[in-house]
Amino acid sequence: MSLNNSYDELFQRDKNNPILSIDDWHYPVNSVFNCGATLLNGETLLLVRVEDRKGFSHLTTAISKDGITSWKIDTHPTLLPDPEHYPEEIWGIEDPRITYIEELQQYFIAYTSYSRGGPLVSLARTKDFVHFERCGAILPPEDKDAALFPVRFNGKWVMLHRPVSSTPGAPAHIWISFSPDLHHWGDHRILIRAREGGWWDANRIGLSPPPLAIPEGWLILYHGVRRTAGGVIYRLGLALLDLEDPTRLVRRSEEWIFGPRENYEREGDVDDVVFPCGWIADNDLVRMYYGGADSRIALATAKLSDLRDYITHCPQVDSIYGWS
Amino acid sequence: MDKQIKNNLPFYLFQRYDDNPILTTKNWPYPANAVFNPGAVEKDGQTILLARVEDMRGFSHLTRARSPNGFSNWEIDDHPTLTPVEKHNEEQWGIEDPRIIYLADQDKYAVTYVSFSTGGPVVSIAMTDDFSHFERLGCILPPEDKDASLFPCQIGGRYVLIHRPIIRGEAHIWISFSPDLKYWGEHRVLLPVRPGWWDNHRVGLGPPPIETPEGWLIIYHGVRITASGSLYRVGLALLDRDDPGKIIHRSDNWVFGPQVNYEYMGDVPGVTFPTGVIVNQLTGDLRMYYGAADKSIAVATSNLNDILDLLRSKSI
Repeated sequence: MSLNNSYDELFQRDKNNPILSIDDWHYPVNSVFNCGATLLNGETLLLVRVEDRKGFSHLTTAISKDGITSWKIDTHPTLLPDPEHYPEEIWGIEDPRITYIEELQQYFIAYTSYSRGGPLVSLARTKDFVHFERCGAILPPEDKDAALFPVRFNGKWVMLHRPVSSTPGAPAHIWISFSPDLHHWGDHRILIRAREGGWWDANRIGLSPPPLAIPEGWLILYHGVRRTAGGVIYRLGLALLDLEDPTRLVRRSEEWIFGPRENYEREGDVDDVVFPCGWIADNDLVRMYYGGADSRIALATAKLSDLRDYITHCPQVDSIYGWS
Repeated sequence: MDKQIKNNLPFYLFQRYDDNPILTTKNWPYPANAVFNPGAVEKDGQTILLARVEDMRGFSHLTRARSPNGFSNWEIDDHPTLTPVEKHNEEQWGIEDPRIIYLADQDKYAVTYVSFSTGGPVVSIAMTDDFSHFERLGCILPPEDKDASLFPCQIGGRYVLIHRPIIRGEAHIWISFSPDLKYWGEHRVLLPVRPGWWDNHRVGLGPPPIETPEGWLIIYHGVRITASGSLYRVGLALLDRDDPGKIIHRSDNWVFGPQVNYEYMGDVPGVTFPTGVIVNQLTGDLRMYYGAADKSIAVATSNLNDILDLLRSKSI
């Protein structure tokens, strides 16, 4: 008799992992991690969070034909903090999420600015990842893990994000917000709640890469944070939003589907963290780029058909509107 | 004004009303744990307060109290005036601390208040013209954010908001901008805490900004955390008329703070928390309404010209 005591793995780690580390960099840095990802002229572009020895972060591009090897890394920082014009960027810019908006023919980058008053969400746009135009701070602190949807709903742009309250007992949920012009945001509502008690995603969750359109709805990959006696564990779960009305949460995975296992995910500046900020759907293959232990970049791939099959078998969510 | 008082003006700048507290749970038409932190406005010759009322579950709602002179003979609504609605899930744990301004360009009053969501406190906004019917514009700032008020007019073609996000216990006053009251952006720090000072731990806007010929007068609270709890005291600042993101002057000293019994005895001892001001445009006399110790409502008076004199001479 043979035992089958292993979970089916949706995402498979690439054998070249970690695919990018500080050894690949053209200039001295402390760590390279949490990268946004997109396709640009048929090539894979990563916008990498790079932390220097001051402890501040900036963003640098890395481009590859196959998205796995032969990365062309910018010889200099691509997008540096500009605290003179944008004081909220005084302690660096972090964790970019890239959304291509076809209507505007531009890439939009939601990133964390580390302001004197705490981390907040900023937005910038670009056509070529060489020249960027900033939209400024679009959400006050403390807020992170934001990404735009690529289309409008009822004429409004929509963003997911993760504000944090310092009120005791107030968990960090994923919120949804709306904008007429991408600069000014409002109508903020709780969308996906952190679970309670013993769940893997109790008390603190956050969006990982931007929402991905599939026939069944918007596929959401999010991280849940478990606080243990020895530190934190960042793992990933899936959720599904209604295709027409993203304020409706339709399904949500009960189990986490990806978590720290390999050495490059378990040891680093922050142990036991897998933190994707970008995924690229290329036919039936989804490539997920993630930071490993806040120190380097790794890649894992899944079949889109497997992800669709998995999420459509997750439990339906009853009520999200109204009070919990 | 006699010389003695003039020399000590900072200490006499605000005078407590003799019959403070003016409103307590004892006055209330229905059971309540505390009535405090009211928004204030003058309308049709009456003073209207929108009081925060905390029930015995620990959740707050808002109830209107009206007086012909702003000090006594309060007529209080029999029932809660504005209560949380489930359609706005951010109001689940109550609504708190309203600030009211009259928006001339809309001929309506805007009430900015705190909604206590399960993800923490957020800022919401509702419009009204009669304080009986309210139209919600929803949550305008995500958690954790409080102590928000609009300016009474557009500045540079946009509405302007002052508010106070809080991060890991530390909190500065921020300023933000909107084309339409509903959607907000360009958030930046306006008035930071001062390490070591009386306002070292947190600062937050008190009543809405007051328009003066010298600029926008800001009454704000500063928090110092002591071994036995928090002290909420009141300071002043003056913002540029045309560019309210610019501070012209900020008082070194606090000008009002807990001193008497009803400010020390309550659910949160040591709190004076002004949330509404009414100014007589002819005389400059002003009434500042404040929550005392998170338990009752009190009022103190001053004069706008005296305040501006002190700020101008930088003697506070």
